[in-house]
Amino acid sequence: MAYAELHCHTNFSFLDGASAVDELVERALALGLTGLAVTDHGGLYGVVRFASTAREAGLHPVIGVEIELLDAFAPDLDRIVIPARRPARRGAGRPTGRPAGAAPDPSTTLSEGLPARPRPERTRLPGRREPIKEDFRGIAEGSRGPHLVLLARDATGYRSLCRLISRANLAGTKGAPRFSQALLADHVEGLIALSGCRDGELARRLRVGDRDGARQVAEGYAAIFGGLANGGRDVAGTAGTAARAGFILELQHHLLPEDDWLVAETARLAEELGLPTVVTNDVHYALPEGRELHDVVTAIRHGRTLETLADLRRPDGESYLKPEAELLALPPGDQAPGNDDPRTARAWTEGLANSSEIAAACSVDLGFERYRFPGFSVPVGETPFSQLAELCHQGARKRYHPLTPAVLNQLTHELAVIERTGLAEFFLICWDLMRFAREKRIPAQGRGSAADSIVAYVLGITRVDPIRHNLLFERFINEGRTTYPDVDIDFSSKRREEVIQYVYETYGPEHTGMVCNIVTYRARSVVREVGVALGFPRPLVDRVAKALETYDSVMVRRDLEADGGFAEFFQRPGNPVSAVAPVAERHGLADRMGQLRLAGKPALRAGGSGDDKGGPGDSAASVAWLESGRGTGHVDGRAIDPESGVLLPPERRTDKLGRPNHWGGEGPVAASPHAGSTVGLSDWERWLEFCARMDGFPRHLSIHSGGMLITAAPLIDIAPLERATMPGRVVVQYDKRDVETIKLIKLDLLGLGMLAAIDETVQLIEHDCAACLDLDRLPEDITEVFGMLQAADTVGVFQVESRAQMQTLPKSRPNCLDDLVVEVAIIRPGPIQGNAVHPYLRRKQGLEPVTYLHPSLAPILSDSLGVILYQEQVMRIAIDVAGFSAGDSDGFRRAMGTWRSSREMEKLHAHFVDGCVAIQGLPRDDAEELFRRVAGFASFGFAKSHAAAFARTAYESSFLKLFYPAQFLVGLVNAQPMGFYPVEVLVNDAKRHGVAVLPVDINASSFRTTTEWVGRPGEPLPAGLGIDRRPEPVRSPACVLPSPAGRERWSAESAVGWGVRLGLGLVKGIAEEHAELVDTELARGPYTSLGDVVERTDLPEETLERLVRAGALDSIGRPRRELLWQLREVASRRTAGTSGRAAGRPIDLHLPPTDAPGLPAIGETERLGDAYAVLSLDARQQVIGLFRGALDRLGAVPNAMLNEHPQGRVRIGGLVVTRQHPMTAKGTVFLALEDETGMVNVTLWPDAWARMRGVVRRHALLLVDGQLQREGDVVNVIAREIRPLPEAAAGVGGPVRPPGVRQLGYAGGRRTG
Amino acid sequence: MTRLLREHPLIDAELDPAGRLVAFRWAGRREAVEVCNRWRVDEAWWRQPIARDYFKVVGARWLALVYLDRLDGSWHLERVYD
Repeated sequence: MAYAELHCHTNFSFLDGASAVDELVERALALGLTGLAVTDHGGLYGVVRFASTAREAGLHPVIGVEIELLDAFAPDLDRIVIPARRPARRGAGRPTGRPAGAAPDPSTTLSEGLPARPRPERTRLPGRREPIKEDFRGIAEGSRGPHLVLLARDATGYRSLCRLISRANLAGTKGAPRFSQALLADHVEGLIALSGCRDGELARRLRVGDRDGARQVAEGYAAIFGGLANGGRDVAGTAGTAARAGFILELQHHLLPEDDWLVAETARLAEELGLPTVVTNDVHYALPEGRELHDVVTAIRHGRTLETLADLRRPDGESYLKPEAELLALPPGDQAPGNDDPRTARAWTEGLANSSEIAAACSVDLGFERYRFPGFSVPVGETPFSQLAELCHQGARKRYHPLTPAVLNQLTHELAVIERTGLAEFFLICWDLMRFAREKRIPAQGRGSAADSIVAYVLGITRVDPIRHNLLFERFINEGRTTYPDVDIDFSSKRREEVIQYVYETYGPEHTGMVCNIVTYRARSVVREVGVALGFPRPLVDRVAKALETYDSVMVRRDLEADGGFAEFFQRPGNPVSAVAPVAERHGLADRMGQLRLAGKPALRAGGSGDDKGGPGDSAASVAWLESGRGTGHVDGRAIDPESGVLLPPERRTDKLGRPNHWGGEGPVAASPHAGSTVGLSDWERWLEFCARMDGFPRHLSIHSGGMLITAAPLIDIAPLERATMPGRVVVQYDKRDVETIKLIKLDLLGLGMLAAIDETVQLIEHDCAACLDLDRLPEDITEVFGMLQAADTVGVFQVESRAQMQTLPKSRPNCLDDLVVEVAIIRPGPIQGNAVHPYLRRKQGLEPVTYLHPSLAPILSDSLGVILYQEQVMRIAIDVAGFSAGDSDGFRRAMGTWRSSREMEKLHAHFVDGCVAIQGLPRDDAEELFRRVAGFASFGFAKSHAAAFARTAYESSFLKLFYPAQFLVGLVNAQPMGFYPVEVLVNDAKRHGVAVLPVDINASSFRTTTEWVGRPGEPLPAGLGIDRRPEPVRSPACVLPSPAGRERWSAESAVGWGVRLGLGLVKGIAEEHAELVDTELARGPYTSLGDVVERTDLPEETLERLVRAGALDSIGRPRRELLWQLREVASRRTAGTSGRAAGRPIDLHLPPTDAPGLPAIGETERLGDAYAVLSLDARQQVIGLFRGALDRLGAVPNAMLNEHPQGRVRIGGLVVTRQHPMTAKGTVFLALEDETGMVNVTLWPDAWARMRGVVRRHALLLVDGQLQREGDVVNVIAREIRPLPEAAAGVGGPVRPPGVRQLGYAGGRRTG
Repeated sequence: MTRLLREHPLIDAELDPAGRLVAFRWAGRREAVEVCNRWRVDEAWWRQPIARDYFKVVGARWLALVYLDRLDGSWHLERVYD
């Protein structure tokens, strides 16, 4: 006998399943199961990865789903009433109450034989959490619709599943599919239905004693699904026929009190009706200890804590994958009441045997190669291939002058491969998209390995010439490759939607869909949700979550343990509540019970020592919590209410008569019977443990940024669809990896902010300077551009603007485009960890000779000076040195990258080494060494084609930054969010390069940032610009300006006369929807008074206040304080009459407007603080300028002077603009510190970070004492001591802290990388 | 009338070779029993774990609820139905 589990939930049941697919597969194999079905709730999210993982591991996969029916089965088929469809819920409003489309009230649907269950009141914890799906929190399974399990028998069955799920989803709202009986009855072809768990309709009826109802339900489903494939119920349901049956009764036993009886009843019914049975275990986790995590995810799903979860939790701990022997020992054991009934025993053993038969009968092949092309229409007489060849030759004549034999040979070769692999249509689809983009002037370019292909180049899909860059076509397509070639096309982020609409229109909505993106738990979300579920006080959870630097949930432990305070804090459970009663009282958290005694110990604060009075985002409550040091949710055995902080009454351990109930004893915690259990761990340890275990758990679905699926067959037959959050948009339940696995064609239409920025820049240049730039024809050898790159003056430049790039550019000194390609490819986590960076840099600087292991490698590795860097190089080594075929070389590259089974590796290893020896005559040792290097590299390989495409864009953006800085800044600002730096850094950088940046002004600014004529240098500034003088370029090696000759040659003469006017859109609160009005009103003429602004813009009062504080109304000519004084009056007059929005205001008595009293003028400090608070930047001065006097007195050096400063001790002051905590740097933290003269990198070694974490995390303005290090032109400050700048400055008579500087915490809180 | 026992006294359980409960001994008296129902309780793992196998048993004199504490393997009598 053998057993297969046919009812199993993975973590794709979204918080109702505690094991990942591979864990289940691994366990099933270990237990010797003959098959495993995945039946997640309402979707097929996990089936593709399940099927492929299982097949690879040698386990038979069964694909299925567990649906929740909307209505109970109506026994008379003729009386099935299609339920009236209620309109989908509109908007996200109505936070409480049952959403339309949710499970209907059970009292109406389960009327027959079932008592109406009272619906539990849903209690909500006040913290806002995005609902994972529709809001079913607090509703027990038993109060929702009945369950039914469906398994796909074959391809037809899979199609039925897809259609059923898609239609139910499209009929419902996001996350709440509507499976009605009528819909189900329409989709039974090829499906096997199992009667379901204890919440299946049959079991529900049996549990309340409604045998007749249960019988009718069983008969009804048997009639729909075909009780037995060979004719029906008259044939006895004995073993052997089960596999052909369409409806099978499920037997489950979880050692619950009623289970013996339920199994016996179901068995009786099966025999009476002649239906087969199957034993399943409704698996929710792979191993017994998974129960704990399952309880935690259930608590998360319901927004409760474990303690308050009550009956929402699964009542048993038995829903793990059980081996056959363990199931066999369940009923009907002799202790079962059914022991006198041989039917039960027979049904149970048959049910076990049937399981593997049914599993074997279910076989679905998830390969849809046949369906992948939607059919591209070509002119009569042409085939897709002939059309493609024609287009290619046309394109080649345009791209290449002259057309060399090398080009023609390569083109012929590629076309031949494309013809043989049948991919012509694919290229035509891409070509068509690019044609559309060109016609609509949407900036677009292909990236990724497609750039290896000359066909893609001549068709205009990519902009990189593969001949010029010596790229390898086989990296893109080869005949040995089984997966689909990947074409990623970047479009201007602003206009990508137009392209997506075009695809929908061209290929039809039935054949087009967006690939989903499965959002998984990240460090912060997992810490928060697990913490709350475990009953930790919410303020504490907040604090812990905010202390995280990592995004990776497995790293949570390492990250928080590094933050010494926490572990220590938690080791002293409950120490202190009272020690700090005064604090708690002050914050309104006083203990109502009044029974706490002072513990007399010093309170510990979570999150380390130092300046820890709370930072941005801390509430009074969280500060109180942390100061009081209440580490856990329990004090003296009493729980603390997570919200209020009040001690709850002691738990009831006795019954009404005061007798102990023995639930929850005293004394030491006993060990759990399960090995991996968290029993016995401290609360803190358990928290960390669950965070690690939830790593990678799917949380919800979102739309993938640009993956579009185009298919020949209707999509609904191939993949399940569901609604996306975006109205009208539909996504496939598979993510991009799944789509690749089932061999469908997917186009990645990505949005790239830089393309939007470059496009706008070019248009502005045309408009402002009457110069028409064709970037395609931009020469590749403009030395001044490379000069700028070598000086690392790259803020805003595509791809090479990050801290790591800026640190290496002066060393790698790129002086041609190929060097830039290397630069783009090499500064990535992989090469950094793989130690490829330093050898390259040393060789580039001439510190180390360029050597090759063997002369045959020289032509392959010459680009990268002998260092293996690109995937194409690995393949070429495999081909030229080791004698692999082109197709095999790609397989070799992939195998190296993914570390397949060691046997496979061993085979490739032998093949490679033997090849090297035989073909190039390498000594065996050298061949081994070469293999080692190739294998070491392969894990972080980067396609050269991709790097080349990006390098070209990086080059173009460098050109624009150098010669048209004003226009480029406008492009960047308007394309936000994008890039590495916030707007403030971009603006300050432009100012340092002498670009006049003009403040926001309601009488001059449009919604978007624009260019504005300020006159050539030396000319007087036009009136009313809002600035007194042009900024002088900063003298610093890191600030490169074009030479007069270069300027004359490469830029228009008028380019230097343009400044940048910041747009109103930068003011917080003014959104896209105000854009049109703001622009129209500006065009109508200047605003003359505050009343005028209020009337014409109709902006909310708070937004107007921000405008005043940003200085946008200064041009009205009234002092700011007066405007603020009047604002409330003017605005309230407007709103009073029109709506009830004036609630809480003084009654408008229609009194004449009051004159503002004589208010003092606003000081510079306050002005700057306001500007930073509202705009996060100031056009006139950088905030550090305010402190310069004090900094001078403190002996601090401006950043621009650091290049001339001797090595050794140094003191600097600045504003933190980015903070990086790269996982590759082993705990080192990098800060980019900006002052008015430039930016400098500050490095904090792990011990320094541990010491100063508190200050650095909570302050944006810092004074750093450290060690200056200079390596060539790269300057670095190693921090020794960091203090908050305002406090240090105050000691030497510095300015008072600008009031808006509090908000600067935001700048410091930004994390990148 | 049901009697809930205050201290859940230890009992000696007699199992047959297949591991099934056939009798138990409490306060010096042996009672041969037959199991009418059984269930498993696995609770409160995050606090003070409880892992018990409950048996509702019937003998000549008593109808009783006994359990096996799966954490330490001891048997207890919890409830006696008169």
